Amino acid sequence: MDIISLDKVNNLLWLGRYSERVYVTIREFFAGYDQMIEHHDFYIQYCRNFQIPNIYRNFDDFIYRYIKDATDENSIISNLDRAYDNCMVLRNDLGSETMSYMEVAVNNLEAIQDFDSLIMEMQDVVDYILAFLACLDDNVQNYEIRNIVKLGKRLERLDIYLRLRKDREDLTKACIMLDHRLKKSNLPYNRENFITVRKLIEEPEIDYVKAIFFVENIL
Amino acid sequence: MKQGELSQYTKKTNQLLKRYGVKFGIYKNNIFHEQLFPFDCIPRIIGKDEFVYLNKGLIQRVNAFLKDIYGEKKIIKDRIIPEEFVYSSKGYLVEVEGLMPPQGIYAHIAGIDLVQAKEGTWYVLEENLRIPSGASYPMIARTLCRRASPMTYVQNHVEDNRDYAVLLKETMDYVNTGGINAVFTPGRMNAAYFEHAYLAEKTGAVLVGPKDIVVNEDYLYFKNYTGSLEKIGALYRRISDEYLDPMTFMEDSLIGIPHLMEIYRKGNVAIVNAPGNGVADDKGIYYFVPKMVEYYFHETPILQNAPTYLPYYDEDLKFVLENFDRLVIKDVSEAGGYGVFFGNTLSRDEKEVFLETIRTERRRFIAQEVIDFKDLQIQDEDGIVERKADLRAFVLTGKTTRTWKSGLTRFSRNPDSFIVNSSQGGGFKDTWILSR
Repeated sequence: MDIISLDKVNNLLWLGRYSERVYVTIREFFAGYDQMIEHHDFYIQYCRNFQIPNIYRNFDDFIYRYIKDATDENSIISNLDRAYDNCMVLRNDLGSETMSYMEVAVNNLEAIQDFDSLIMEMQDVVDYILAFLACLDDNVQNYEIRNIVKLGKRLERLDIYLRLRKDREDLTKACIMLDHRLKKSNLPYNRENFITVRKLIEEPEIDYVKAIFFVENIL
Repeated sequence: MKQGELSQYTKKTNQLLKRYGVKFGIYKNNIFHEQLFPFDCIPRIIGKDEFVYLNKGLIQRVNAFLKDIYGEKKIIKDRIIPEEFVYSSKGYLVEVEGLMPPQGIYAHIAGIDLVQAKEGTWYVLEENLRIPSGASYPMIARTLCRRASPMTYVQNHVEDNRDYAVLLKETMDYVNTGGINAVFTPGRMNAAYFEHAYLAEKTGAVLVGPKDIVVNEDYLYFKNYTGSLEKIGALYRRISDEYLDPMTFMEDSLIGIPHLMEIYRKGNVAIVNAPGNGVADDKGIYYFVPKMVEYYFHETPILQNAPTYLPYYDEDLKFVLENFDRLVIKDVSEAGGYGVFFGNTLSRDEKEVFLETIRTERRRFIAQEVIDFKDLQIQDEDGIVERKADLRAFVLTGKTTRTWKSGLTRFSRNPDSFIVNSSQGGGFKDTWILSR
């Protein structure tokens, strides 16, 4: 298929964004959880780092809700659900085989019961997301479809890295990867805003809030 | 085949079906839910000769009536079917009068529901000539069963049913007026969305929603995000007639395509299945199908209807009133297992109200003998049990008319129920047609 509707473009872009958000979030969670093992209250700092409201009663409540509460819009499951929702309407573009990895990622996250081996179980979710993306790259012939998903991923990565106040090196790398995708994409975008983000990242003191604003207005 | 061996794969295959998102949607208390369609690994098995017989009988039942009823109406003029039965049918569309669809085909895909009585006779319960669904389920189930238990297919000679998409594509290609094939879905919240997306994927058609297509200068187009337009030659629509075109049918339909009927009338796009087919799968018209076979083909109908009574006729009304307790009554305007009442399950008061309704709305109901249809074995939590099951056979018409060598076997999971519909908790099986 060489033709894509406007709605599908939107779905592809948000599929890329949400799958990246889940992927980066779980990896960050692994690092954060490692600290929480000895220092349960670190979850408060973790919420601050992610700029999400601390609506949790305590460490246990945080662990359960942040991972599995679909009504918590910042939880990993709710972000994965949004990736899934965008994926669901793309079956004939991505193929059932590709889609099945997203389905399994959701099923695995929903099925987590044993919070003692949480990291092990969540590793499977990460693996399936990576398998989904690899399958998409391998199975989907349409270059534009692959490119739009990757553009969504790169945009999300830069956005989330800025929110996490990552260092200049990480941000520069994310910026270069996004630039590469923007140039390959046929989608209209605001080049000025992208250049502004690059300049902000090169400033001695990075204005993260301002940079996030411009990232959100590139597309 | 040793069925006990095969049944051990039910759990494994259901896990695979979950993995591939094989679900259907259902509304409960106005909230949309998606749920898995429970699959049972023990197939319905139809022998080669039996399929030859079924194929002949099924092919007899499609197509001739619609061409006549929207054309010359010979069957009415010759008083085979009372005209009020046709014109009062909710499925009859005056807007289709005199309109010949591309290649003269109305029922491109017919889903014919059958049951087999205990002594072996097959009965047709109803024809679905509008947008019959369900073929995708046995199609994907077979793919996954072959993964779960490859030896089963080494040891048994089963016709491959994974060619449904090929048959469907050939049908669409045959009627295509020039352009791409598209599957038109109302959206993800439709009960059969999985099927829409899966069939689009497997036929190589584009899956389109209401916002993706437009009528422009007498043709139907898919709107690319770049602004370019791609002509559509065949539209496999999965929405009902009344929503199809707000300029012709329901004017407040938000999921329709304005002016679609205008270009259809000009022969510039094929609509699969054709609008107006509802008149032929009306439960009241069903009564006349054996007469149609005799009238149009001068042949004896091969497949029988379940014994059916039309309260519209005085004699039948009398019979229905006298034998109400042993009949099943169906509201002709309902579908999906709804509007079906077993006479012996109603209380005295309910029965009185019902009888009065039948007396006053004689066109609204049909009554049928309850066929004690054959139970099939299914794998339950408690082991292997027997449950009621029907068969939806799919007959596709393109250059030729063919019955798909498989079908959707649906079963009731409730031991006391004859209702097999997925929306009412039923499960499904694969249908094997033996090749030897």
